[in-house]
Amino acid sequence: MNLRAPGLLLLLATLSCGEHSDGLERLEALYPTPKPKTEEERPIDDIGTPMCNGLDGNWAVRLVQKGTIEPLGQPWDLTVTDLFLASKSQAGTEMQLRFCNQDVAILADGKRTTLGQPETPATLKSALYLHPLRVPLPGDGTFAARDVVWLWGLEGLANPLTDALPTKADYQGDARVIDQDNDSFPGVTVNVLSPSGQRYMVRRGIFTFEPGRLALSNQWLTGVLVHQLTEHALGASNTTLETAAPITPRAEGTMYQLRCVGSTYTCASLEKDHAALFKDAPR
Amino acid sequence: MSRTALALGLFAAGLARADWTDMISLSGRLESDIRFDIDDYRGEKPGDGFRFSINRNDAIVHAEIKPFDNVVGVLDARLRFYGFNEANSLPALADRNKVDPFSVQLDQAYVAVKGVPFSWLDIKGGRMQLTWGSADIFNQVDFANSRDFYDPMDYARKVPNEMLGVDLYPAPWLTISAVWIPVFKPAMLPPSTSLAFGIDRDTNGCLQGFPAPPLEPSQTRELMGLFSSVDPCSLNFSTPEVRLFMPQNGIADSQVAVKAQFSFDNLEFGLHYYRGRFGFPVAYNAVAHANVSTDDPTKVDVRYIAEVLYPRIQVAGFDFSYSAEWLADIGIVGEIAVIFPEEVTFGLRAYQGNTRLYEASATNVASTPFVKATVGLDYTFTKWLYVNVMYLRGFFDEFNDRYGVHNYAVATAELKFLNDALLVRLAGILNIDDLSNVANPQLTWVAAPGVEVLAGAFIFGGSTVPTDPFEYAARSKFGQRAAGRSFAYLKMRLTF
Repeated sequence: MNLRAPGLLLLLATLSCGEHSDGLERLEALYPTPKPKTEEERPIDDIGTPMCNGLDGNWAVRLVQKGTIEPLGQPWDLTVTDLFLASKSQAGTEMQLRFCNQDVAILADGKRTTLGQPETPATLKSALYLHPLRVPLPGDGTFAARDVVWLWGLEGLANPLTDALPTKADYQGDARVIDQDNDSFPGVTVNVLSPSGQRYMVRRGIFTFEPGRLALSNQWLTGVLVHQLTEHALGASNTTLETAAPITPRAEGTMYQLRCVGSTYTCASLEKDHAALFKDAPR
Repeated sequence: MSRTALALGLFAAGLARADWTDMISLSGRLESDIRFDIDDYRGEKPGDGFRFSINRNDAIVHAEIKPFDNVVGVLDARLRFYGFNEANSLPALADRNKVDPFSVQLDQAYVAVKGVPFSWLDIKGGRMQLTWGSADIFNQVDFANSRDFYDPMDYARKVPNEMLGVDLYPAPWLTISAVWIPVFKPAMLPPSTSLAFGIDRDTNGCLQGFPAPPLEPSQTRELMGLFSSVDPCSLNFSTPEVRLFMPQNGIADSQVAVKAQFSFDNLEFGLHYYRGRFGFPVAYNAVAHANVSTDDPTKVDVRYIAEVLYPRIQVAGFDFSYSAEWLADIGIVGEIAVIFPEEVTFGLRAYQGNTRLYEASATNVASTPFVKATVGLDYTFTKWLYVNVMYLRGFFDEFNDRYGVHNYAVATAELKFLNDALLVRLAGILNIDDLSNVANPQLTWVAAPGVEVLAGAFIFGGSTVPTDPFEYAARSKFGQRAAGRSFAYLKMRLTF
């Protein structure tokens, strides 16, 4: 009996069910929590009444520029997305792209990082908006252009495609360097998220728009973009920001996309909605 | 000779052995039962009462068939006519089943073979109702069949279930019984149960309150706060839907019950083990959907859907009965069950459209073992007076959830007059914790041998309103409207 009693207690101790029914887990199975919507899935603002005929009309434009930078010796993937609202000039000889915003995504080892990520201040957006990027048109109703130069903080380059850009060491007294955003700093000022501060710089983009494909619906115009970006820092609020890492362009994924929008469509809507606005763009 | 031919030969020999009428014994009951609700505040709405609630006729047959000495087949069948017209349209009046609805119920149908293949072993299989334990009705160690609580006056009934069992007789003083029940069947509940989830409305149909869910009171306050800022007359609460979350009928969901019964001179006791599920449901989750009414934009439709489940349990139990001359022949019975439950967490969400407004969860059943017990005495004072008293820890349907296990006193006194032709029975149950109660006075007249006429009442007492609207356990056991209506009854019964 002395031997049996502990055995019985042991048996009782092992009876515990050890199972668990969780009502919240069951509710989650019945009513799954929706996954957070991606940028592409978010509802977008009204794009107005798109009325495009050939290249005529109002367009939302996205220039997607892929590349790599090596700020710490390892290549990081870089995607620069410039956003514009565009329409043909009155003479019909060029497409005028008015700047809305620039979105820069940097991936370090596949993960997004804010290290070195620039943001465009409102003053720079306004300044760039006033001086549109002019893309000459072939005149045959198609869309294509070579070596289109887009300058930030610079003017009067004798050879815009090839002239060396001024640097921090030599920009003093260089008449080509202007305070384009009127903030009393040379060139233009961009904010850098990490390390936090401002960089005063000049920038040149050289774009080749390969012949574009106009969708049958006349709602889309897309094509391959070839780009070359050069940035030189002229100064910074933080000395660590005075070196701008060179950008090596990558052809894969570099493209331009135009979507026909109504005349009331704004830069604010484009900035907010561009991921969703262009998600159905023909590839 | 083939096996089939051999079997047919044996069968024919059995037929030839004796007249079939010698092998069959029949007994049964014819019973008429009329009930009238005698309150008008315990129904779905105030003022809902004073009417006939049952008008039933049963024909009950118990048959035992013994084609061989060691074989018995048992059949318990009931033909029940409900006595209320269910036809609600002109074409339905052509349907006898609507005008005079009935059901056929098979309470037991099983075969038992004794002494096969060993003299110390009986086997049985089929549809059975088992009752294990020593106490009168309030058996705490009895889990093989779920209870049939459809009729609050007949709470000894069980939900029959299909099972296979063996009885072993290793010694004259020891019987070991074991049953395997492949499929779980839940307890039947009275129609009033749905009032446990009922919405309280005033005479204008405006929301007054709803039952507290099994959450912390602070969580319930938050939940009710969602509705407090809204005009209660603008909320269209539909009748809550309560769904059953049932086991999947896999092999792991089958149930096993084992009992070792020891018999000595004046003492019997049993050791019990059960693995399966508790037969009464436990709150599992609930969700409230609030949407602007499509019919009236000033109103909000609220739909409440809840799920209940049957928690997995293991039980270790003990029961005994004892009577002896030195105790003046007082009978003592006792049962104790230690229940090891699975943990159940109650979850609740509230949505407006697709937006989740609220989410909360709380432990409804802790995994901690708990005890249910019965101890009772009965004594025949004289040939005309019998008394039975019991203390219960845990009513049939009580589990260690947020409502908890309560304490009860049960007493029955039977007085016989006129040479047993007249029997007065006074029975009652008192919830010692909240003082709610149920009383069952009954007068039985034996009009002729085997013929009884019964008149009585079944009366619930206690507050219908919880003492704390935010506390799940604040409802009184027998006072809450979900317990049922008070009624008077008249029965006539022939037992043969």
